[in-house]
Amino acid sequence: MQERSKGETVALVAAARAGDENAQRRLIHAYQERIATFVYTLIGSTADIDDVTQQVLLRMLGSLPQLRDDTRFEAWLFRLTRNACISHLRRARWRRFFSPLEENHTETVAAPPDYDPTLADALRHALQQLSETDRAILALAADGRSHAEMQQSLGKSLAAIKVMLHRARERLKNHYHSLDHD
Amino acid sequence: MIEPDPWPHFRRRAAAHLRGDLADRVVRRHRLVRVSSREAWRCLGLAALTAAACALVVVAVGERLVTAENARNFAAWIDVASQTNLVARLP
Repeated sequence: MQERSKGETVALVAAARAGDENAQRRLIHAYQERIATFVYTLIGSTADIDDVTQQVLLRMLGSLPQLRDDTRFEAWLFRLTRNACISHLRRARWRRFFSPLEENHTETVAAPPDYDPTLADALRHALQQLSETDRAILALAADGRSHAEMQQSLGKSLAAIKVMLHRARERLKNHYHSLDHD
Repeated sequence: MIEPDPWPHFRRRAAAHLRGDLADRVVRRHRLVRVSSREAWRCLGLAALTAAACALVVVAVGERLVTAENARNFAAWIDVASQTNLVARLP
């Protein structure tokens, strides 16, 4: 994960907003993997990761002029991502309703190094048992976001965030460990 | 915490599904969207100007037609008046 200081991020956001394509590319490179993980956590399908991430990043560049406080860029970006994922899931539900026999194409990609597919699969299955809000809060926690940032991204009170995170972790742990016994 | 931590593996899987040219694709599409929205505004402006010009022409032609109709009516009235000696009887 590429870590940047807040000052660097703010400068990069300002340059990207001003139309500097090089800054836009750097901003995308800095966030694409974190956005992809967040997207995968919420939608649970590898087939749409690239598409949804592309939509989110495109919307990010288009909406940058509306971002009022550049220091809140990350919370704003994750809120944008969550909204895009919710729209995607809603569209997918309608698509399945009208064409239930449509095949779900999954791309096969080369396995990355130091990667255990069993662990990734177990986590994906456990996440799929949770609500969309639980998945979002767990994805933010796994990304290392603070409670305050989660509050900005999810629009809940700090106390609610703490309770929700605790419960989501418990539920995830239960579902994850129940897979071992199945 | 879940041990061993599955998140790094999950993260690697998600990242592996991104195509390498993502940043270029997004920047290119953003540029296209910006250009086409600018073009759309320009087209809208041009359409508004054309509509305004058409409205002006319609108003001007209408005015001319009304004036011509009035003149024709006046001439007909003069004609009828002279035949019926109406003008002479005017106060």
